[in-house]
Amino acid sequence: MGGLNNFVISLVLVGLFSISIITFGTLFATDNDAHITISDDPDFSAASNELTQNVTSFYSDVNTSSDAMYQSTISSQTEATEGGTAFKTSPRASLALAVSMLTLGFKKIFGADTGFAIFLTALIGVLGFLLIMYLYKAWAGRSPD
Amino acid sequence: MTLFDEPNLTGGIDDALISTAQEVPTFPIMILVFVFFTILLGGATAQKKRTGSSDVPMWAVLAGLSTTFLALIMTMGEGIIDLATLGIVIAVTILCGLWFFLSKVRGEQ
Repeated sequence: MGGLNNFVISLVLVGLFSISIITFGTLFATDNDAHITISDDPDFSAASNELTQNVTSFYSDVNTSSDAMYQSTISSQTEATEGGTAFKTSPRASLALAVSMLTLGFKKIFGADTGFAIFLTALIGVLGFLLIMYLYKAWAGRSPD
Repeated sequence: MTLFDEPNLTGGIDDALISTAQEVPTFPIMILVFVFFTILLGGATAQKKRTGSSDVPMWAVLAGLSTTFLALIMTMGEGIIDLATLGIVIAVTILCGLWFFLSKVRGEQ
């Protein structure tokens, strides 16, 4: 098993993979008027809702961690500034750029409001998670995991 | 004595498929199992032959997705597969995905 980044992103992608398979099966049945649809199975509907809630929680947790990171300080050392302001200013703008590009691509490919909308939320969460980890590494001079 | 009544082969391949499935309910399931293991074993073996190592979890995901799409097509006709079979196919695909994503170590693509 790899580091923390690898492990968290793997689990998030597993959740997205599961949601996508179940959602695709449901939408396939709806679009093609299939006789058998996976949405008739309550277990899959419940699992899909639960996974969606978990991925949404991941996104909000990353936001909370990001805020905590921006408000934190490190005791003055020779290799790290106490406030870390120099390292905390520009990355959020960089993330906003990535989010804008993701939103544009997602809207053009999947439409504005579809069952796959949770993907964009989770991808932004993953980007934010990576941002925090690399930001901490740049600022504190050591790997967070 | 015959194992099952022969399907009406003049009504088109879909009619033959449905007739066979109604006579032998395990027929579509065996097709799905055949497709899954053909892709899994064939792909992994071919990759190992070409590159020296094989990514079995990746081939399991590919086999699962292929089987899922085939099963979804089978849901469009009545009487080919049932909800339990479709559920098992999707559950197996999700488990293969879990195996695939957790099988990657640091730095591996």
